[in-house]
Amino acid sequence: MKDKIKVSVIIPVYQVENYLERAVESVLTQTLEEKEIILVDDGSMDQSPAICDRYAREYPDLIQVIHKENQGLGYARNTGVAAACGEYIAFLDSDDTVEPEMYQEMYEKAVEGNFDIVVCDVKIHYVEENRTTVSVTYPESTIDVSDYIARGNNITYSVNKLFRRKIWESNSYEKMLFEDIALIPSLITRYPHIGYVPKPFYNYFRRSNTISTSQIGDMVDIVKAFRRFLDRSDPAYREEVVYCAVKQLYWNMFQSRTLFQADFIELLQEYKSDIMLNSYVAGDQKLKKVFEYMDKKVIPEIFICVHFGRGIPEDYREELKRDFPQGKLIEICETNIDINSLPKPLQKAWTEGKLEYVEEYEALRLLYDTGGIVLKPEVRANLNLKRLRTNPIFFGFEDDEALMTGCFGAVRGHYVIQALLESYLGDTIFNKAYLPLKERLRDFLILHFGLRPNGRKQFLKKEISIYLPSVLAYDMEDGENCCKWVQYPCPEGYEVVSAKVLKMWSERILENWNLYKQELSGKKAGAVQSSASIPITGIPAAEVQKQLEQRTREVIAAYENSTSWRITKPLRMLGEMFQKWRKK
Amino acid sequence: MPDKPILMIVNSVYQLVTAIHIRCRLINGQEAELLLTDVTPQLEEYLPKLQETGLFSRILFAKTHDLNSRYMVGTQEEISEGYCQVNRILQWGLSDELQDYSQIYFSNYDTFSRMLACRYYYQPCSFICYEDGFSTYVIDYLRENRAAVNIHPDGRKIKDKIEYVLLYEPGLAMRRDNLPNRRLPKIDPKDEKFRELLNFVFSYTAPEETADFIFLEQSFRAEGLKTNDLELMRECEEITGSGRFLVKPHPRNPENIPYQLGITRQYACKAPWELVLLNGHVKNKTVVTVCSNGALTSRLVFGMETETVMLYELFEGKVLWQEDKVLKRYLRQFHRQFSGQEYYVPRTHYELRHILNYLGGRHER
Repeated sequence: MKDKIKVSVIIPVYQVENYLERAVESVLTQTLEEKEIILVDDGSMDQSPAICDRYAREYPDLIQVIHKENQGLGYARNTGVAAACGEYIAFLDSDDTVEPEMYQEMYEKAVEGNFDIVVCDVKIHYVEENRTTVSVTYPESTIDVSDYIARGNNITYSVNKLFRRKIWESNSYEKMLFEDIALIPSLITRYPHIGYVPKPFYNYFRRSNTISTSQIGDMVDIVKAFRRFLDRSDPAYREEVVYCAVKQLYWNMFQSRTLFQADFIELLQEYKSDIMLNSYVAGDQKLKKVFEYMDKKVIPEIFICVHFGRGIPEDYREELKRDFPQGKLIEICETNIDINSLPKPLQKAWTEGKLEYVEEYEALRLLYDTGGIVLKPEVRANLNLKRLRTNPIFFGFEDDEALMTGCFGAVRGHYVIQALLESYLGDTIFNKAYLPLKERLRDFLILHFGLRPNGRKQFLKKEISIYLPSVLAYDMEDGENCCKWVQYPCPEGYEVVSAKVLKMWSERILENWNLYKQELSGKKAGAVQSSASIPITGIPAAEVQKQLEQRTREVIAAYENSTSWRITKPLRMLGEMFQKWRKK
Repeated sequence: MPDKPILMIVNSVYQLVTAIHIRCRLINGQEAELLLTDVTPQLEEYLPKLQETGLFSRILFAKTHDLNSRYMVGTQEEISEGYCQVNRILQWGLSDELQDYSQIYFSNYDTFSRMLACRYYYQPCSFICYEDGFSTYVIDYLRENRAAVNIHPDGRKIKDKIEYVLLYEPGLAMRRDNLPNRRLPKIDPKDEKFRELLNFVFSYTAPEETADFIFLEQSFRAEGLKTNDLELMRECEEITGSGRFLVKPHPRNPENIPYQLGITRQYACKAPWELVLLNGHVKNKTVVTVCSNGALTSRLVFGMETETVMLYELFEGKVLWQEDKVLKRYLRQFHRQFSGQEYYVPRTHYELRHILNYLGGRHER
């Protein structure tokens, strides 16, 4: 029986109890009879393993279940491949479905052309939006591989393809996110004998909270995945591969994963010559935009933590590792600092016990040498901080006038950091009185960059970004926060916010509200009343503005669609005519 | 030794101190006459004591205040009107007749000095300019486009008569008038005899009441300039705390506005600032000012270190002089070369706060 299996369908299963049956049923109803289904339970903790077992019991000749510890999608697929007997292999994600004819038609195509790989189109279901679209893999029925790679439509998917099982004897998925990107397109270049069934057989259900749509620290694997694609593809298709990768990177950089923009820029720069000399890229007006990023410096993902006289809390490293798995932590404490390497005034400060003063100097020195982000032990960063890496240098306000020095970053060798370091050697009040860095920094930025100490976002001389207190110091739950103080204990669900920032925040909201009212009273006097019921507390001003405008539109629409409004329409028209006549 | 006496013209207390110093140090043994003017009204008060010292063979008094505001600007004809009656004008304003002099020391290029230069133009009498604070270092008073009088044939005669300029720190001179600068020795604060002499002349008594921070007001209001000096005073007072802060009013300002606004208590001391410094009564105190010459005096004239906070970087308002940029350059040069450890120039209000807190012992050192 096993010898006759034409297609092995591998379904990795992880926490999908609500979708799994639908996926399996879609395979069971396939018109292709000579198939097997391998359910690889990747350590699910919901009812998925039980569902798998039930199917295995019900279809012992057709379905086998493998239970394993959780190692991720790629490894689950590898496990499935290892157990598979079919002539060809197909992958189905457990929350998607396939059309009944998919595997039969694709298998027939494979046999007909003795293809190593057969591809089909994909129907994307945007679940929340309740709409579908077909993503066409190739515009013609016969695939020209060079052109297919250059176009890159659906090229990275594992699931819209049928693979000759032999391919998997020398290839496997890596343990990472975006394992598809790392492997599949490069397989296309190395097994270029490809068939195509131009039908949307595969139903891809796109939801929020899935890997495609949510953001977690490990998603930085996408960069590694693109690197694999570029490095492991057949050099014969180098031009097309580079173009395809740049297109995909472009989309990720500017549309879907802007959070990782700095990582993408670093990757582009690794392949600078390939990209700059690529004829496809040169001819693509849109993609030329990436040229602007070829020399752009980004802040490296290096975290600098200098702590004298106190340790790093346990969760500091854990949280850093979670959100920045590839980030490097440089830690300097009193036991591994070479005091003699410090300039004399700093040595003096050290002997006088001004540890925080020396700590800040040392952090600046490291920042200058390596570039990165200074992160004090009393603050916690989150994934959003990645966004700030595209700045050459950034700081933030701690309140309406003080600057936050618990978290700031710069590219390597930045002249502002150099100047700040040099300022520690002068005969100034900052050094005489051992003033904290935030005082020195504020004055420096006022004097040289025209900083306005008002707690507002600023971009100084097109070089230094200054962020709101809600970005680097306190989480105001507006989705903008990158880092916050955590030195005070706080129950879950609460935030500790300084009184000054709270006041500033409230005033800002009120200011926007008043501006809005002012604006509205000038335009539509009648629309204000109904919008008063909108809760504004705790919502950022821009959001409030948006909500208010939406609400106003709703109220006006409701009024204009009301029966009384429609009934009185002729009367109003007559009234308007009368007014015009009077003016004449 | 020349047969003819030397004449020293004095318009201010600062000039009087320097003139007495020159008299004792540089021209001792030569006959010298002193001419006090009403530019600073108090000068007349010192006349009897000066006479008692016997330093000067004769002390004259001249009412030049009103004269000095005339014949500086206007048309050449208007200026000529004044200069064609030099002798009559000089005669009318003076308490006594002038005689022939070998040298005339002066500080200000005012109408009176210029007219003296006309009077002695053809006589072998050289003019020596001695310093009047930083303006002598910075301002090229004879620059042609500075005032109409500088292109007037008589008004500019003084330039031909000047032999050199005497400065305590000639290295700081930034004028571009090509006049040679010569070093004027500093006044030695340890020279008790000289100090006693000055104390006698000025009837000096130590100030009974003082404060940790003394703000030297300047004559902006007297000159009709709109500035933020009162805001700066209030800011300093708020930082240092009342009781520790005192504003020394500028004598030329018509009213003691800082006092009226409640920024300071009355400054009771009548003694000239230079004497307070010389007698060491500013020790362990901080002098705060926008850019008053008085704050530089301790270093320039006496070579003493005094905690000084210069606020000129925080100053807002109409520029003080046409040479504002040169003045700033001078102050920066002064800062670099002479300020020592106790000289502060805050560039932001935050820095000012830190400095005053630090100097006031409020900062954790």
